[in-house]
Order: sequence, then C-alpha cells, then structure tokens
Amino acid sequence: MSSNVTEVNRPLTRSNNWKKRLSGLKAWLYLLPALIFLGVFMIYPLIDVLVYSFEEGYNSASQTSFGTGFYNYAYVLHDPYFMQAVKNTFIIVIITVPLSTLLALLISLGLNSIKKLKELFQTIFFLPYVTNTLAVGLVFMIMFKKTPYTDGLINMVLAIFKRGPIDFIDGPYWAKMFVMCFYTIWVVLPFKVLILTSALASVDEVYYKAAKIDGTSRFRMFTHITLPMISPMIFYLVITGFIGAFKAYSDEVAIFGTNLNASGMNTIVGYVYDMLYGDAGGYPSYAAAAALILFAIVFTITVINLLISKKTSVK
Amino acid sequence: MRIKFEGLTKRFPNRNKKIKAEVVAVDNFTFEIPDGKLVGLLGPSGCGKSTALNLICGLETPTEGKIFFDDDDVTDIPAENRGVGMVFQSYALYPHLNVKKNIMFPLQNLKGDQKLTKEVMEAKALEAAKIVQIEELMDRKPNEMSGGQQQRVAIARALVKMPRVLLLDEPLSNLDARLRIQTREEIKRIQNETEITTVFVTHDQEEAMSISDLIVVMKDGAVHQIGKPQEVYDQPANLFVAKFLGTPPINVFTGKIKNGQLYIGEDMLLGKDYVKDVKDQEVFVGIRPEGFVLREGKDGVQDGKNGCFHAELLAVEVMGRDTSVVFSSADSEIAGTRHRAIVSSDNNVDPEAKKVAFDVNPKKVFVFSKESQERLI
Repeated sequence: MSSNVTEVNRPLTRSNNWKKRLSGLKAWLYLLPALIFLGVFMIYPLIDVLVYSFEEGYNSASQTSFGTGFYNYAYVLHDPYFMQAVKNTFIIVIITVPLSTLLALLISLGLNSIKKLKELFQTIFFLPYVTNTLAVGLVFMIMFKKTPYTDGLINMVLAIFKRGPIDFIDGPYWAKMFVMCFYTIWVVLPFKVLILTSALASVDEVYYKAAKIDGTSRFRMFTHITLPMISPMIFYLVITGFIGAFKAYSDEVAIFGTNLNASGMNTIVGYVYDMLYGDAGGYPSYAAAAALILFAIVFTITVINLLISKKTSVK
Repeated sequence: MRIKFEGLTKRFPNRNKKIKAEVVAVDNFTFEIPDGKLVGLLGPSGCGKSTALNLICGLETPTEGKIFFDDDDVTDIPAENRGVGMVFQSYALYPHLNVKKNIMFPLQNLKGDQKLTKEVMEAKALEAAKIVQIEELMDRKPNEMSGGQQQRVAIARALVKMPRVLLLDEPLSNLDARLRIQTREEIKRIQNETEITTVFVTHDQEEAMSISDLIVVMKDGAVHQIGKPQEVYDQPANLFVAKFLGTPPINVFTGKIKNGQLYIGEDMLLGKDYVKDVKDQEVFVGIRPEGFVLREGKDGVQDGKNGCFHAELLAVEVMGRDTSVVFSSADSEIAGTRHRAIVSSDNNVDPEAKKVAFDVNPKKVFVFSKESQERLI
C-alpha cells in the first residue's frame, strides 16, 4: 500500500520541486542587478585591498609586486607618521565622541523644555549640519590663527583675561589638538541634537505624569525614565560617532591644510590618502595595510560598543 | 477618605487659537464622594471626566473652586503630596523595568524619615502584588505580559504606597470583552479588600453600572445625575441620562400630554393616575426595551391588535432567553429609528405580521419636557 502511495505522489512532488527551483531562480534573477553592483563596487574592491595589503611593493601601473607577506604591515606600524596619525585619531575619538554626545544631550534637554521659539532654536542648532565643512573650517582657522598682522579673534578674547597669545594653528601640539577637537564637536553636534530631541519628544508624557504622582524627583525622572527610554538612540549616536571620528580626515584638512604630516595633525585616513596620492604617495600596498589596520580598530571598538549596549539593555 | 468638591471648575483655552471662548471641561462641581466607595464617573468622550480625575490627583490645577480630602483642602497641594494612586488608561508601566521594579518605583521615591530599606520595599511590593494576584510574574517585563496582567501591575503600583484615594482612568478600555468582565469584578474585589475610596472614569455605562457603588453621570463638563446605579437607571433625571444608560438604549418618542393623559400619536399610554397634575404640553416619552408587554391574541399569537401602543413590526430576533422585537414608529424622536422591545421568549410573535401592539409597564415609561428635557413623570 505504502509503495502505491509514493508511486502516485512522485510525479506531483517532482513537479513541485521543479517549480520550487524555478521560483528560487526567479528570486536570484530579481536580485541580480543589485548583486552585480555590490559585487563590482563593494566586494571586489574589499578583497582587492586585502590582497594589496599582503603584496610587497605592488605597482598599479604594471600590476606587479615583489612578493607576498606581512612586510607592508611591518612598515606601516614602524612608520612614525602612521603612529602619530593613530595617536591623533585616538585622541580625537576619545575626546570628541563622549563630549559631543553629552553636550548634545544637554542641548536637547534644554530645547525640549522650552516652549517659545523652540523651532527657531532647533533650526539654529541644526544649521551647522547643512553648511560646508571646508568653509566653516576656514572660518575656524581665521578665528584661531595668529599672523604677523593680527593675533586672531580668539587671542583677542584671551588677551582680555591677560592670557596668550597662542598660535592655535601653527603652535604647540595641544593647542592644535584643542582647535581640532573643538571643531569636530561643533561639526558633529547638530546631527546628535536632532536625533536626541526627537528621541526625547518620543517619550510618552504619561510616564512623567505617573512618576509625578508617585513623587519622583526630577533628577530621578531623568536617570530612571528618560535615560533608559532614549538609551537605544544614545548607543546609536555613540557607535556612529566612534566610526565617524575614526574616519575623520576632511575636518583636519579644512583647518590645517593638506600637508597634515608637517603640522603633526594627520589621521589614519589622512595617512592612507597620503600613501596613495600625497607628496610621498604612490604606495598602494602601504595604504591598503593602513586601511585594514583602521578597519580592525573600528571593528573591534564597534563590537565592544554593541556588547556593552546589549548588556545594559538586558539589565 | 471623603472627597468633596466645592464649585470646582476647569477652563481651557480653545485649541483653535482664533476662537477666544474657553472650553469648560469641568463646570461647577459641587458634590461629595463618600468614604470607601467605588465611584464611577460616566459620560461620553470629551465630557470632562478625565479632567475631573486629573484635578483630583493634582495633575491639573482648577480654574476655580476647591477640592477637599476629608477636611483638608488639597486644592493647592502638588500631586506627589496628595497621597493618591493613579492607574492610567495606557497603564504607563515603565517598559525597561520588570514588574517588581515597577511596583517598587513609588517606594524608592520616599525621602528622609520615610525612606525604606530594600527588604521592606520588597515585602510591600510583594504584598501589593498579592492583592492583584500577580506575585508569580514579578520578574516579567511589561511587554511580556497580556493587557490584563499589565493592568494588574499598574493597580499594584498605584496601591503599593497605600494611597488615600485610588484613581482609575478608563481602566477597562484596552482589554478585550471577556477580560473586561473579569477585570471589572477584580477591581470591585480589590476595592472591597482595601476599602480605599476609588474613583474611576468610563464612557461605558455597563461597566459603570456593574461595579460602582455610586455613579456620576456627566455631559459637557456638568454633572447630570449622581446616585446608585439602579436608582439612576430607574429614575433618570433627564433625557440625556435616560438615553445614556441601558443597552439596548431606551426608545424615545414624541408625544403630548392632553387632558391629563399621555399620548403617543393616537395611542393613550398613561392615564390620569400617572400623569397627575402635569400641565398639557408636548413631551418626549422614553420607554425602556423591557418596559413593553406583549399580550397574545387569538390562537396565542400576537396579531398587532391587543395593547395600548401600536407600531410597524420590522423584525423579530430570537436570542434564547429573550426575544427582541424590532419596530418603527411614526412618532419616533428621530425619524427612522429602529426601536427595540425585549420580551420573554415565551411570547409568540408572527414575524410576517405588519403590525405589533404592546402594553407598557408604567414604571419603565419616562416623560421629559420637550424644552428643558428634564423629567416630568
């Protein structure tokens, strides 16, 4: 009996299988355009960079190299310019990401609590986001720069307090780093303010009402209701903030010009660019190795961030 | 705790800024809620019942008038010092905290001498959880529970500080039909056990009727009637109250009082014994669905002849215990209304008959003035 049943069913199953396979093919067919683009412009270059980073002295014109190995990594890691770039990048990341997030939170709380002219202030805080980074960088440079003719706006202010003058652009390392961090925070702030104000506004008013009836202090409302409720947004900002700060380059160029090695303000991405196209350029292998080191750093930090955010949200 | 209102009024500026006139959400409340009772504020949406609740708990400050808890004037006392517990319509459970932490939240706010140790707080939280029977759910997060369970947690959180007054805003509106009946009995039980004066707001008359010791019927910010549910149902003060209470709703007809007798069209419904000395005038007549009596004609079938009130038969709906007779009348308050009489299913009504005739139970007939809509008989 049972064999009979299978006999009868077999043609049916076969045609079903065939149909299933066809519809699977159809799905791939629909995906094809996207897959081609992703493959050519994302996956192939990624693999290529990985390959270059292990090929010693790769020449893009002749498509030749001397051999394979870890030489490029060894070179980059021993290059004082690269180490300076790593140091600069880390300082910028560690200072600007927490500080800008905290500032954005304070500004958003302020914006959220005012009633009159709220839209106006929101617009003002968002304006830097739509202005050109290079133009603003130029303005920063003029404000901070000390020239033979003028000490610059900031030094004029400092003079009131009997300090300075300090050359922020060509002067000591900490002064340059101060300008750099100040500028970076100023540039990233508007987006964070925008995200956090909408996150704060999305917290249901009823929680605050309930908390008020239960006699909750304002501080406790903030730490026990507001913060946990907007924590996914804060984590989002911290993670994207870390990634963005690690990839910083144009902001540095905006203030210190293209020769970042000379001013000692280079970043990792700046180093990669220099290795490719800079005055000392033409070394795609070194650039590839540096880029992959950067990838490893960003990847590690992001994983740590995600682990922390998961841990706190489970709590 | 007695709650007493004296001329309590709340006015809001109109949402449409071009209209200068203010919206009166609560209009001159002067009444008292007795100690330890379960009171339902009942009214259609937008009648100001939630505003009244917010005034009691202190989330809103009144424009005029005073609120007393026993003999203490609490009008200017902020919400956190009034000793009220509130359950919100959406429950407002903190989604990131588990049940235990949610219930403990109000206790953790205590400061100074009132500060409790962790052990005492946990014991109190467990006690509150036991009252609402959720002690085995203490580690759940709000989104891991059903609506009914969330509701209980919200009640436990409101009870944990042993408030003087418990307020519930539309407590059953987010529950499905079956849970609603269960939960309303639960609320009644919890109120009986704790003996805390409880005020709840609802737009569902059945809900209010079933569990309240006292109901306050509101419309447009004004109180229309206060009384025990059965009293309000049996003796509605005006047409609005009569229409608002009861399912199926009361049937309203236009009629007139002539020579001391009540007429709907040509049919004389009530005689001089009932009408007494009410002046001749145009009136609205409300008859509860259960106020109609069918009298059987020959062959034991209702034939539309016997009885004092005649109408066009539309349909007969058999519902097991009862039979619902659907009819229309030329003298309906709103033309074309399908009226409904609920009669015992022992009655035989011929669905094919065009006409139906009823007698009426005079206790279920209410007469209202056409102008003021106040009750006359």
